[in-house]
Amino acid sequence: MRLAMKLLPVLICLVIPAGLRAAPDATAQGTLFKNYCTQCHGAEKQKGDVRLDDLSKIDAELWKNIFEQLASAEMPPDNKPQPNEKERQSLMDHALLVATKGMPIMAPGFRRLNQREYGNTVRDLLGLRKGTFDPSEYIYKDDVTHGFDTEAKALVISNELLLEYLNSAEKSLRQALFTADSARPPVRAVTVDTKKMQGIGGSRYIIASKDHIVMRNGGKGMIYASPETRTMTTPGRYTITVTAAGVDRDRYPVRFLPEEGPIIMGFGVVPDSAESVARGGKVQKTFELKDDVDQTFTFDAWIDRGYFPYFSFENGPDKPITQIRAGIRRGKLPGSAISQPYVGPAVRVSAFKIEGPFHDEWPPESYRTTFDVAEIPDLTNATAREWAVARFATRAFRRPVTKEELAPYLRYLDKQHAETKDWNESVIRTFAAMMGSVDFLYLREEGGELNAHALASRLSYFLWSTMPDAELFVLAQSGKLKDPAVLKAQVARMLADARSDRLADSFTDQWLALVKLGTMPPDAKSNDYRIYYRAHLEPAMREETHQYFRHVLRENRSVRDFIDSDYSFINSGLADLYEVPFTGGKDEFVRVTFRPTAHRGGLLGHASILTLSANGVDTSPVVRGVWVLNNLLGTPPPPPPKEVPALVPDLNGAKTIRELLEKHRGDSACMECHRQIDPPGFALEAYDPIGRFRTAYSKSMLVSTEGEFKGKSFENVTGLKKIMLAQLRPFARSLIVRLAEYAKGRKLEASDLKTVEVLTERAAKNDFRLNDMISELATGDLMRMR
Amino acid sequence: MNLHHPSSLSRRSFLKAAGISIALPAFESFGQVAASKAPMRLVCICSGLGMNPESFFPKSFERGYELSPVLSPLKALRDDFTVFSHMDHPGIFTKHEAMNSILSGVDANHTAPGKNVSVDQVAASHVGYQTRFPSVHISLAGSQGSSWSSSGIKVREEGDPFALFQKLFVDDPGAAKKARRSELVQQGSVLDLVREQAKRFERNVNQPDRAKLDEYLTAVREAEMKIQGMKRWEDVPKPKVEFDEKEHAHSSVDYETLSPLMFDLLFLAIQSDTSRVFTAGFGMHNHVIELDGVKEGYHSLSHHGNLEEKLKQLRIIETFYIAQMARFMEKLKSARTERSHLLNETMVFFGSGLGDAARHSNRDLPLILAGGGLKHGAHLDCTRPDGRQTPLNNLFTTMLQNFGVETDRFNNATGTMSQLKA
Repeated sequence: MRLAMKLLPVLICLVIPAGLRAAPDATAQGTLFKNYCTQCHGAEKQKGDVRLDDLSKIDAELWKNIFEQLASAEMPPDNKPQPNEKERQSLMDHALLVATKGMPIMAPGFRRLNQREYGNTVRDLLGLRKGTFDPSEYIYKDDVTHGFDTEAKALVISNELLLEYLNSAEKSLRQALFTADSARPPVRAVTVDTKKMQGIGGSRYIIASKDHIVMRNGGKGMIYASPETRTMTTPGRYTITVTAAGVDRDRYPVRFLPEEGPIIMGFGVVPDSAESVARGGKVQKTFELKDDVDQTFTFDAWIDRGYFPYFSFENGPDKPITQIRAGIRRGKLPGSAISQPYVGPAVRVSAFKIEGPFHDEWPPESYRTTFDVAEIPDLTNATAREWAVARFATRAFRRPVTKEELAPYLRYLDKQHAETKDWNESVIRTFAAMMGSVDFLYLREEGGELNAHALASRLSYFLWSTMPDAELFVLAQSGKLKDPAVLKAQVARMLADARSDRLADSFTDQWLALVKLGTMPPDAKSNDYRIYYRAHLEPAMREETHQYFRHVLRENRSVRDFIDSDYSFINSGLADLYEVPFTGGKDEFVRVTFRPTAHRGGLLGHASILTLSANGVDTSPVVRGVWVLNNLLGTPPPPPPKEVPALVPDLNGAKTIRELLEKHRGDSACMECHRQIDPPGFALEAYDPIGRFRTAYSKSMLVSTEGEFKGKSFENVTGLKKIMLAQLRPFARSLIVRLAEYAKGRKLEASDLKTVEVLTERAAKNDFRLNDMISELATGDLMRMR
Repeated sequence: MNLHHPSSLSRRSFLKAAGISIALPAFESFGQVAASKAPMRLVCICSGLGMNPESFFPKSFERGYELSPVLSPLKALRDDFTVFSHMDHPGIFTKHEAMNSILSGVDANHTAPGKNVSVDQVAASHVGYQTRFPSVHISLAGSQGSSWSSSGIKVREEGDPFALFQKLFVDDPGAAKKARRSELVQQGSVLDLVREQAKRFERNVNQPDRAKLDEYLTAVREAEMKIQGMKRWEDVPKPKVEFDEKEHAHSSVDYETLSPLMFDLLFLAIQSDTSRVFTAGFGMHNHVIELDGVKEGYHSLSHHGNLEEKLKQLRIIETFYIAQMARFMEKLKSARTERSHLLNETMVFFGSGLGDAARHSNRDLPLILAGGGLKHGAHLDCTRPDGRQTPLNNLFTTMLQNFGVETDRFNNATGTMSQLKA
């Protein structure tokens, strides 16, 4: 209550529409409720357990819900009498006013950095941007399945997590402040003895000798130097020289993988520790090898401390021996081939040299960033130490720090030095302690209007998922950030920066539930879904949707494109799946324009959406329908009645899920919700569990896609999209709400919804352009106020 | 802590055959504290995709019931376990997601943090660092875990037998140990410092902020206890066992290699009193499990559409789960202890958050409880007089009491299962 009162007088930025100013009188409201609501929510019937015949008994939460239902045009239902615009507005104004009065903001003002934000923040705080080291790999992933991963309430902390944070901070600091004496580390050249090289894949496929090492397995296989020499103890740029060839292409009467084209060798780096959650390496470069002719490649790579370089057989077989078995089965190979040594195609490395570390600048970026000065401070000097600690605290805590706050850390630093006699080590330990504190791990927001530093952090975590950069920090420090013109310019700058891809990708993942993609993949051994695995469709699907959102954002397109369009961004695998012509290169994503016969366009044509809303086995109009209502349109249907089990098609008799559902809808209790849920799902039945277009389930069972949505009938998904486009405003409004929730780290309260209406109105006048919509959001009250 | 002497050479060779062997001398010297009562253990085995009710539930009840086909591997042990029919978590309707709540009966997504602690974690806090690990959690391919800490965070699982073996039985090299010790000391002092810093905020915060700070301070306090506990074990050598690397599963769906290896490690962990609380999850996925006769993805099979060809494959998988449990129980039963044998001192629970996975039902959960010195041998019909199903948390309450935890209601339990009390 107290908080809400405080908020009202400071709504300075946006003009409040006239309708919101005065409370319409209560008797007029009573009449409207009688005309449009109490028929279903009255003394006789209480659909959804909602009763509205006595306005004095409606609590604030329900008033907010009434407002939402009216604003999103969900109520009254399309088959019931509708209020006119003036009446609807009057009801909405009243509902919002009462709800706002009755609902103080009770969301916590401490929000823990989530796993992604932590990783980005630590890399930016310590200047660790060159390599593949990722501090977030030492943190367990946040288990947020509902709402956004920025939601303060859901971001709990536990002892396990706290210890993981401490561990990651220390590892990261050792990566950043890597030399004990602040001196440039000496460059060494190591020629790797091929005979001592090792690998993953087993002795059947990897054989090392004096002259070379060969590897015949692809997949997760890798070869690298022996443990004594393989791991870099100093981060830096290293020059790698490798001599390699592709060998043994034709030792069998049948061609083994890769059947065509050159053998491709990969180069990557991998952490030499079992602690990292993601243990896999990351391939950084690939090389096309010549058959039986050695080539020497020289290139540079940044290798982090504790990582080692490796080579892989990128287009080799995961389990080579299965090719022998298949060959024997088909009569192409003698049965004895299975007991002979395997001699299929291989990567052969005959020389491998590593030289480094090279640092083009000294002090390197990590030192300059961590200490926030051009030269490494002389830590033996007490004043220099104090300044170093103060500068680090200011950046780590994202705000000015008082002397009193610093004192305990300075005492800690001295204590560590008394123990270790090593200032570098003591600084690492002290900074690590700061990174375990509430001040670093939590974004802190107080009630009312945010102070300039809290605003800078909010903007930065919203648009970039990381700490404010120097420019934002300076503007926060001087207070200029609160100047509307400056704020607007900053938001424009941040949206134009590549880091805003993080907003695009994370928001898309969660808004559209893309995180679900891959949790229920199709059967790997089924012929029907071979393309899913062969063409690595899962990451490609995700990439398509990411690129699409980024494009709409970057190009300031209307959010209409999310509902329907004639383009998308696909690679060759997706082109195969969609059966559309493709002219781009291998692994390349290019923009394509679809003909209407492609049955694509808008998010509903994305294989990602169609796959995540199926279960890898079959499709359900109910699940897809719920996805459309809940994720895309932001109007979740009520949860299913608890006692009704899901429908199970009996495959012995041939009944389609639609026939079963129609029977189900015959029941009037089910009908109420399923008349909304099922139709979008029916339209999407035109796509199989991995998003391929289809017109029939089997030879005898045709797909039927027609239905009725929002009181209008449609033939197929094209018709459905037309109906949805006519309702663009509620769609855009719900998108604004979701973006605001992501940005604020909490669910919106009644007092926030006024601004949502203003933003929706402005967006409507501007063709619902996404970039503008986000700028308005980021410069408006939803961002400036707690 | 009491000693369990591996008594015969034959069992030793059995262990070897399984790729694991235990070296006797070091093992005998382990464990010094004489307990007045034999310690109790808890092992929770969970399956991600339910069990087909047609082939799981026996058709008759009480003692002398007839075993169902899927339960047949438990034949020789039939007096050592109980099968429960018509039991569920009454508040759970989350379909596939119910695999998250099988051990708590609470939907984590719709509760305040920390109100969904799982039964194993209550037991684990009861034991604390009396053993080296308060609890051990393993994933048997694709499991996402169903164990929740008291702070509302999912507990981490180990999926690699070699890593599990190292964690349980391999001492760090001297240098690493020394570094580890200094790290523990250092982390302890960091925690001191950050606690003091957090306390500055305590003035002038509203209720939700207060709750967040409490959450943090609780994490600090628990982390300190954890560090204390870990320090206590730093200088105690781990029990000595050998592990044959050649016995590695060649893929995550190589169940025939992976499952026995993992269960053997659990057995050794119990026998050496390395931990007393365990969870093991057979996961939810759509890979083809490498068992003879299985040709389709597991999830695809669970949606069998009553096709016999699919049902047959599903039975192979589900019988395999029960066979693994039986094999594990047999090992426990043949391990003598001062008072009786390990199965009598270990509760082995098997269950799934899904009943009939084909229809994503969360009712009629497939549930078995074995061992722990409880009264077994029957198939219990747990339909209540009002026709509803008995809450599974009633059984968990009884199990916790049997474990030594003083409680009369675990989470949303409404009572206990007196039928099991011997």
